[in-house]
Amino acid sequence: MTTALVDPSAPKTSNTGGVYRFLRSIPTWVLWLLVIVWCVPTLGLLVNSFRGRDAQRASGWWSIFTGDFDGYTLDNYREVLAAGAQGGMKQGLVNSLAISLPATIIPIAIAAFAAYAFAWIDFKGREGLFIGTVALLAIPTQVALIPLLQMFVRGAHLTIPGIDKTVTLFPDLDLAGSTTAVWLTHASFAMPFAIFLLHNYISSLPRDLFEAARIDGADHFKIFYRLVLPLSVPVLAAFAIFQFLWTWNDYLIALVMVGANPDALPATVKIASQAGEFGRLEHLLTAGAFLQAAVPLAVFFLLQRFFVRGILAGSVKG
Amino acid sequence: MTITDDRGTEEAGAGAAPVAKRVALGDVQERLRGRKLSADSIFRMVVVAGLVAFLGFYVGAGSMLTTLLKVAIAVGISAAIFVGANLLFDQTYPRWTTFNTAVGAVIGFVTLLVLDGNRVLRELEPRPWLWAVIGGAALGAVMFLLSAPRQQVARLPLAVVGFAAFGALIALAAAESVHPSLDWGKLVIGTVVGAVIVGGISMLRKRNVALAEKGALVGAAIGWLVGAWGGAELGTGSVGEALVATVVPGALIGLRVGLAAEATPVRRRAIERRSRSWIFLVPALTFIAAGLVIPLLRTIYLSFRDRNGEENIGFDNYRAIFTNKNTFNLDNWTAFFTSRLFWIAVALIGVGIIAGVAMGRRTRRSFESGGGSMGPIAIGFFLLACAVLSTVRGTIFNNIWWVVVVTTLATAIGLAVAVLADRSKGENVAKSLIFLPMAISFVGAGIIWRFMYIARPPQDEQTGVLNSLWVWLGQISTSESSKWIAAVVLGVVGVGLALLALRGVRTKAGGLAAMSIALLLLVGYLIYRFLGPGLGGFVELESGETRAQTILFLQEPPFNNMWLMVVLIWIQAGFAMVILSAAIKAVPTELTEAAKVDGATESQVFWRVTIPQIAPTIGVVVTTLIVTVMKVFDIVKVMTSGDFDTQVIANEMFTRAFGNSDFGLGAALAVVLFIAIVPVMFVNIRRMQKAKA
Repeated sequence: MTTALVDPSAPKTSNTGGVYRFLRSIPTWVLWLLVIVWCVPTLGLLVNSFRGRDAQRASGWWSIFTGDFDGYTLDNYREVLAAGAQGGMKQGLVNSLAISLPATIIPIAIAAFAAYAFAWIDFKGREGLFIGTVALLAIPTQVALIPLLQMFVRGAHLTIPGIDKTVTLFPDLDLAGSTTAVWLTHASFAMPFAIFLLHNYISSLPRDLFEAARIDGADHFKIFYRLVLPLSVPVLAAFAIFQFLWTWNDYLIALVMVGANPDALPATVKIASQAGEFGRLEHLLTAGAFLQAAVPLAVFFLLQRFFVRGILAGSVKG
Repeated sequence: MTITDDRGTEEAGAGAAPVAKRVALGDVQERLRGRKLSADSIFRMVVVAGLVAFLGFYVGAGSMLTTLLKVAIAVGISAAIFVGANLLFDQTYPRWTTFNTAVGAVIGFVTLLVLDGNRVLRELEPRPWLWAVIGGAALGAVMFLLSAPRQQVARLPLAVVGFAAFGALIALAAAESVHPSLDWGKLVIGTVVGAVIVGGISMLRKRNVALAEKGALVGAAIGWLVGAWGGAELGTGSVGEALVATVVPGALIGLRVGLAAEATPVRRRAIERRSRSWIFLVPALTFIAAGLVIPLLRTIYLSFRDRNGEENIGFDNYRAIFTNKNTFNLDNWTAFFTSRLFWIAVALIGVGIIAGVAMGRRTRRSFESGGGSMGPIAIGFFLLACAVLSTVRGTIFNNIWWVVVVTTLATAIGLAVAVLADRSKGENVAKSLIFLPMAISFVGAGIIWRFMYIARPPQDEQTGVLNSLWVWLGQISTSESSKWIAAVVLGVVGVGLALLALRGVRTKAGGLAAMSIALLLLVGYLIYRFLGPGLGGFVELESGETRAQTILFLQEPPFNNMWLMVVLIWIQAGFAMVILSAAIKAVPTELTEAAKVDGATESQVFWRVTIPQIAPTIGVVVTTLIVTVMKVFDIVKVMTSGDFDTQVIANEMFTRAFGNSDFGLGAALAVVLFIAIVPVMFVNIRRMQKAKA
């Protein structure tokens, strides 16, 4: 009772005190209600992915709470993974990896150079070039897809106006329908964001550090890979995780670039095309969707600190 | 499983200073010396190798290996070029000759490689690389000789002869099919124009008349090349003419190189310094130019051409977008005034204004902005937007609707969770679970929610959560006994809400009162529906029996759009929550404490202190969300393919360009999307410049 008296708005009698304590806990109840609502869709998918076709059609997945454990099986996963079956998720996951790995590693390296140059090398037009780069951050992928696809299909040729001679700018390397085309596109699109993010971090390293290194006679290259790279590990990891998940979860670019080649389809495109025939294969779709989501979810649970950092770093002003 | 956002932002976003300062300056020297292979790094390598082996075993060593090989080659080549370029320019100062030779070799190599790649050189038997190697050796040798004598007098003739010889090499290597039959008129014009343009540019840039002649030499060489090869008919000329076409520009370039000032140590240092920024920048700029800027320009160009990009058709593609009833349809706009949403919205705005004025009388302001007044007004405007966008139809309005609804609700829910979770028990777990959908792909989320929305035939058991609830509600409201139970339960909740409202009025907490009254009205309406006309999924048959009825969430326009938006809100609310939560925690406690000491209530603190403090962050969240929502594609594609009036611009663009191969119209749609995002780009830049200042 003495503690209740501290709060001037708290009523004096213990009876109404109980009521108001309940009222004050309402926000917490609302919060947890929201959390439950937020979890229901994923939970439903997870439970259903372990139930056979008939079980999925006969009752809702929440029958698990009423003690109905009939029809639980791993068959969905087995069927979806098997190569040659409708889906062949195994190949899909490999293709996803073949896209995500280079699409993560290559932009990191290249953007780190550029970010360092923008932050610590003085040159003419630095400010303008940097703003121009960052302006491209928000550009929608769609604006570049048509020309890029055309370039991968038949190379890029420029017919010089007036004299009517054609010059090949980008040879036809037969990239259409390959995972290489996908990650090259991803790498280009990641560049402005990567430069922006890494620049935020690298430019805030203390100036003394660079001066000390200069006095020791180190050149830019040495400073970059002996000092800046090791110090930037947190932001590099944050970007790597962000970019890996982004490319792993991408659908549009993969669909445009390799949509016509069934051997190179990543997991997202596979489950999306399965979803196109929703009625017939929907019991397999649960397992397929969960396999595709397994990698990002694993990253989410194991490396959440970096994951959150990556997302935060991109948007909170730096 | 925790979100440690406060520290996270500090390290990754706001600044690296805390991390970096931990590195003592004495550490610098040690770092510069490099590290030896330690037990730790060996352990890490073993772990990675084990992981790779596991993947190889499980997914098939072949495909895994080729993948990794491709990655390794790509990374290796980029690293080699980068490191090589750095090492090359390291030589500028100490070893001028080596540097010159290497530069010459690289230029010669690349020049002949490009020419060979364009198939203008004679076939050599082991075709790849050979011409390039010859070219590299030749120009390397020229440059090596050039850097020997220091005096200009000796260097000038050497340079002219050397570069002319390199030109001759190219002419001799050229295949007969490209030998030009020279058109002397065009040749002269090209040379003069080139000399004037490049000479003029270099004069203007350095503001030095003396430099004009050097620029003019280079320009003349370029002009000569263009005039000789571009202006002529290829394949009908002779070797002699090819020689004329290359030797003269070679000599001109040689003249320019020979005239260059002596390479004093100071100049060499300057070259070294200036080259560095370009080595660091060029790879990234190449990717941006080739993958973003040039394609963007080409898309704009294609949007003015027909479906194959062959003919210029002016603005026809854009006209097609804005005259098509499927993309832009204003026909039904009058229905807006008769829609229920419109009137609810108007009523809410009215209530909000009245509440604001009433509260303002107490604080002696003309209008008091707080939860009680701003809440209803905000909701009212939101509903008003929905009312408009559900009556005017078409792809473009669908997109706007998406942006309005998803941005608003995701931000609002994110903010609500951030506030509710702040300092409450289990904060981190709750936040993690709300954030979890961020990890799931849009495609996966679309599939997950299709299972939520699934509608089985009415006589079957419903297996989708939402329809199951809906049918269950219908069952309750059609059964005599359970209908009363529901009414009583709701009645109890209603009494509780009434008490809350009373308390809100008594303690002058406008937000609490407004919210409880709104909820009370809702509860009253539900009681009325239960006891009166009934609620939930059922139909009464003529025989008097009732039968279950489902909602086809995805097939019933226009509000199926809203059900699609729910998916994106589900994903993005976590994003908004994490960022806003970090911002709320960053609000200085002194501010909120001071306000409380001055007698402000919780809600006043929130509206007058916290919200203004985190307003910039809300701006960041909103702009980021607008960009994401504007280009929404995956969810619509997977859930409805744009059928049932749910089309959005990005999906329309995909269908037109890659489904119907109408690249002109597809490009025009992409440009529309781009223009819609340009304002956000400007906001981003402004914000960045402000942060710098």
